[in-house]
Amino acid sequence: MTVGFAFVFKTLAFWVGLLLLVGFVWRLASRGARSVRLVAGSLACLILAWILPGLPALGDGRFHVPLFLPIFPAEYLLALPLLVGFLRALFLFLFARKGGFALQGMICGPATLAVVRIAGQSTAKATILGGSLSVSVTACICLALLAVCAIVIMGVVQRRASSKLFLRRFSIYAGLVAGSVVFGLPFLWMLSTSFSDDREINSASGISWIPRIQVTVPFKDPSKPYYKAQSNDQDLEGRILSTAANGDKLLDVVRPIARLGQTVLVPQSLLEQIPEPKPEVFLQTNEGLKKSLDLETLPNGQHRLHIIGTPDSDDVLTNPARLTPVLASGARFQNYPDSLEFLPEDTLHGLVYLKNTLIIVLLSVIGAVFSSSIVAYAFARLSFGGKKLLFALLLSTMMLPTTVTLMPQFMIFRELGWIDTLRPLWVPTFFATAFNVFLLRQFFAGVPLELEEAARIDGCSVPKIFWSVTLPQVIPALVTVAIWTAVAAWNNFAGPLIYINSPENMPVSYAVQLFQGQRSSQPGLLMAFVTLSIIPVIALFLVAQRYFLQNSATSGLGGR
Amino acid sequence: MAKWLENHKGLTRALFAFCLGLLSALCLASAPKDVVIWGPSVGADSKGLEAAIRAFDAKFPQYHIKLLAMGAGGMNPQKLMTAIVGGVLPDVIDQDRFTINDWAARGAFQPLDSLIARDAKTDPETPTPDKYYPAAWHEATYEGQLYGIPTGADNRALYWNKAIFHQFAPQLRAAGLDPNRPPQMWSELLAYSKVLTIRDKSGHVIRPGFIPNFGNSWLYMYCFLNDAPLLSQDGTHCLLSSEPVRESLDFMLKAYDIVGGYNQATAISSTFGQDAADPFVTGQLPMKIDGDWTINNIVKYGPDLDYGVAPAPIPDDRCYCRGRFKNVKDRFITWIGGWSLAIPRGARNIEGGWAWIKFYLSPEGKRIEWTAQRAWERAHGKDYSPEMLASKQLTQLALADFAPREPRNRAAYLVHIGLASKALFRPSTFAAQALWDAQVRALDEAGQGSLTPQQALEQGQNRVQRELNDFLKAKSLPLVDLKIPAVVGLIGFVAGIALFGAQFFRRYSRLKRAEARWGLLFITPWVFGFFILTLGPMLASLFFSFTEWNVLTPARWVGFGNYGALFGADRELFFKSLANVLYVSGIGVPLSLFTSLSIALLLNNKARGLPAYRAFFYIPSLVPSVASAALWLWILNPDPARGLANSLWKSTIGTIFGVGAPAWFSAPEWARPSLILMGLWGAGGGIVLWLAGLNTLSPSLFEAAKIDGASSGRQFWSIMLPQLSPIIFFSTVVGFIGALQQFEQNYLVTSGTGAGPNDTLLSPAYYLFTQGFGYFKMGYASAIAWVLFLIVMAVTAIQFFVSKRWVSYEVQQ
Repeated sequence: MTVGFAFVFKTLAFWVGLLLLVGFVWRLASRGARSVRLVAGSLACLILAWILPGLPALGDGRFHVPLFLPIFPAEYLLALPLLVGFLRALFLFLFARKGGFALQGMICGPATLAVVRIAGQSTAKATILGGSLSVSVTACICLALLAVCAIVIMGVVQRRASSKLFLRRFSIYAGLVAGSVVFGLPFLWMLSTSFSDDREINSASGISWIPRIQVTVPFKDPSKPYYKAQSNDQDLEGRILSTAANGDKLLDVVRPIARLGQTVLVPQSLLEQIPEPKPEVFLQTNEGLKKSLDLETLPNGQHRLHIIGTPDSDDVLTNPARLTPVLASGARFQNYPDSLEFLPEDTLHGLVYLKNTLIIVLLSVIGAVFSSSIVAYAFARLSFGGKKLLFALLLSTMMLPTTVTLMPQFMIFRELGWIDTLRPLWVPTFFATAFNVFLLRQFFAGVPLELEEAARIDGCSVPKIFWSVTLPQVIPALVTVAIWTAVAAWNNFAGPLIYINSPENMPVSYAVQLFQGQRSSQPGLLMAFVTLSIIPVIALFLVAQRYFLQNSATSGLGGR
Repeated sequence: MAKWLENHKGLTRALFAFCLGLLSALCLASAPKDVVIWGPSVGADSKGLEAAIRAFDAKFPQYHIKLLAMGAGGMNPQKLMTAIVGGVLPDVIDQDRFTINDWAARGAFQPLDSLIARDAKTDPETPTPDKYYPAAWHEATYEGQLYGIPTGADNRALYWNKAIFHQFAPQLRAAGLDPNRPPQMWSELLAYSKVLTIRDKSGHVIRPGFIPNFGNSWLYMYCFLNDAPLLSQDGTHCLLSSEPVRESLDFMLKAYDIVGGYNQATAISSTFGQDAADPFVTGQLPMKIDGDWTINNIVKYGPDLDYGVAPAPIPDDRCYCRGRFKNVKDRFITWIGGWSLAIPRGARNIEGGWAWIKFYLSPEGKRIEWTAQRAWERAHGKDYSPEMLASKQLTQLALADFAPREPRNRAAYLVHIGLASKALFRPSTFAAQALWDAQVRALDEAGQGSLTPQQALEQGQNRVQRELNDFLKAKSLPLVDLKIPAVVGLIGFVAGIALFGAQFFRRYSRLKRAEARWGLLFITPWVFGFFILTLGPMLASLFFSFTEWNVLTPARWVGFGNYGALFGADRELFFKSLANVLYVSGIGVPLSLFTSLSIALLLNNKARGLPAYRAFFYIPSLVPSVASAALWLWILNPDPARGLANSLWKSTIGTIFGVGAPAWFSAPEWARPSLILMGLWGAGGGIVLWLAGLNTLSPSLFEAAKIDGASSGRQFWSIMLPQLSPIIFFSTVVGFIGALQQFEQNYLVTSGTGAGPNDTLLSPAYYLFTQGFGYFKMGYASAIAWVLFLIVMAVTAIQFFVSKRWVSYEVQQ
């Protein structure tokens, strides 16, 4: 017996034993009945698994739980159903003499071979399902304790819940909560980072759900005063560079960020010194740590500090090695305004992007719902020549990668003069996309025929039947199409990048990728902007919920 | 709000008119000629660039700069190619220099020599070869003509952490090594790395001494050091599998073995952050070979780091000038890279673009940029150091006025400047991207152990050689007369429309006539869209799949050559990509179907707070793919201190079962499951569909079943599922169609470079994208697309065939 075979036996014995054991626990909990056979069976299997050779001794004092098969490329999993199909077809064809299955066999057989062949091409060896788990003694004890707890809990629940209803409600809530935790976790993580400092996100000090931020204290620095000024109806903040001949001051703008680095001439009268937020740091001195404010970094690398509690004009120069920043738990809300300020000023901090996105979304939704519903109705309910062929053509438009049709399509839009406009992004939706047509066709096909027949007998025309009888039956599906189209249009990033050349015609999705630079990125700002940009879509979803939850099927069929 | 607007109709109208007026006024005001620039990313790094643009606009009132940033990927090749073909071109683009020749060879860029010759005498700011480092200048030169003015000139050197060397002084001395200087040759580098690597008790590497490919070195750097050209002098032969190249690869693998092998080292280096989190900057890594931008990072984020910069260690023979290196001129060398500003051929405002290039690369422009950038960094509490430039004059300026004052950083800067004049550069060839990808792939394959180094290099060499041959051979292929397919297409278009129109007048039975006409009328929107927008491009791509077409020059006929190559020479990669999508779709599609259906069933119950739960499940599918890829790359960071997934894994599965956390996207066996996981997170998008489906079920059937006493399980299987079957069918069909063509996720996760560990993230659509837009083989890409099309078609046809047995429609037709 080879090691491989032993491993397979061992694995089977182990998992069968474990299943029997679970069955025993279940019986014990749910009916209070003990089953000697189950216990004996499971023990026998587990002992067999224990003594069978198979895994090389690793000598780490742990029990190695075998996982399925030693070397088993997961691609073979795909071949399995095909293989089963093939064997079934073969069996039926040979013994039951059912000819219809020959075709199935003809498809499944070569398909199996192809899959195995292709899988063989890939070189993956170790997989999730291969190898072994090494379990420590503590882990075994924990598992046993867990089983006991399960028995107790189930027993208690059994006794308290007189009806099945309790268990049902309990499991529904458990499922909902568990599911939303799993699905919500990455999103919460995104929210958390949107409130963090970039340096904090990048740090390797462990995962912290509650962001820590640098503490700042507003301070009027006498040697480098910070001013607020009004210029062309905009509030500016910055420092004075020089004084012009007529007494006006040249202001070096610091805020808003979009105008940073610009200089503006401001009359003295409009200037007002304001405190500037300065980072708080601990300064290491001979008398211990001293809380101070980090005022600026000098060209020679030294930092100019103000020690809290001393007169405002007293400065200390020190080298950075003696400083530790003061951090506190808290949210950095500044990321949100910063992320909008980050966008070029001539886009009105993203408002232009938003306008373009809204135009695209609105027109796409109207186009998609209108065109695909009538086309889908025709394919689902009306009979005409060449219907099957046309439907196959319709579906096939989904199957060619868009990468290769991009170039000719671009030429068509150019001939129409639509480059650098929003039209290439929404006009095609008015010609019914295959995805939406197929979806709605499936829904139309489920609407009871009796309704239409009744209307037809009453002498209704086809459009009338479509509009007032069938369409109301599939409102939830129309809402689905609307939501999906809206979300796809909202997030469409590749399309605008290709067809639009001017920043002022770009949508919000384009702005998202601006936050990832070539060598530096600002994860905090990125996530803040993404959060801002999906708020409207979430709102849309919350509003649309009402419509697709209306059970429209009740409306027309009261008496059925 | 809506009501308010309605009540103030006059006001809204006035407001609207005002906006319109403002808009037209703005349009009229933009009289200066636009200079359109594409490429540079905007952000914290570009505050200086923005200041320079403002200064340019002020200095040259006849021009106005219009900047379109491209974000993460730099210049998007798809965008540039469509723009060139469509004739809507920018005036200046920012292009990675080594790919300039790819484009120049296909006639996409304007040669700049005549402009330089015209202005050299009159304008002192004109870029001329004598002002630039020769390597940077030559890299942008193809067949004697210059196609781009080099901007940056990053070059690589060895960064070493003096503090760590001192800390390990006794051990280093014991091994016969000097702790006061960095390694100079390869054997020393290995010896230092061995001493400086820290392992835990079980031999697991905690801190690697030196990772060959962390930073920016690649196989290329070691080939340069080992004097191993990757391309023959005349550029017609690829030398990737030559002896010196293999030596370089062997050295890299040896260095990897010291730090626990390639897999472990890449898993470790994939946990490393960038910028502020660069482990060298934070003092956690003793050595790395990287570019001069590291100085800027150290100045910004690690001002206390005690480090030194030295030329990268060279082969021992080179160090001692023996063997092949007997007559070597420069012992220590480096590799120069960077970007260039180029003007596409056919740009509308060449003069404006040229004026911008001259201004931006003049001392005046650079001074404005650096001053503004430094101000921004200082305003954010960081210092700033400009990167190395291709122009010697500008580099001197940077050194004099902007480079850091501190001696350590200044010394580092000087090392890079000293090396720049002895730099080598990647060969000027029309297959630069292919060559680059080949060396990346060879290192990965040899490192993963799926191929021996020799095999990996040979495969890479064959692939590049084919690109070279195809390009050189292409000129002898017959040109395609596009008139024939155009006429055929037009006839087909007219015939199609006519056939469809004729259907209206076909004789149907009297009963059916009205219905058929209405049916045809109803599908007319789609038919028109199909004929006008879809059919043409589809047929065009089918036609081009029989040609050699690089988009930029006319297509040439090759018959079935593309298909032959796909199933012949290129079989391995194509089949690998097919296996990958089969894996991901075969497991991912049913799994996400199951997940979203079970969530929908959960949500279909009566419970408190349902809208909130619904939103929670749905939100993930709303996150834009760019952001969700970034998010998942953090979450799946293998380092438990940074990645959420492994942090949870370590505290649960890791402690209970003692299983080490996976390396996700950087381990070949985990990359595809990670992709599935990412897709699964968005499965909530499907619940809308299921909830809609569940709400169109007729309740009367359930009532009837309840009266008959059917259990809830029975009701589910016998009533709900059959009624939902059309939607389940829709989901599987569409799911497979989408999954087999998956591209976006793979592209974003790999950020468009490489195809994941051992090519596990390569999908056919991604493969054809690199072929079409990276290697300029749109004809070949079309052939891949059509093979994929047939496969998807077959899968769909099988599903339709099988569906007759399990999908129940209301109508049997």
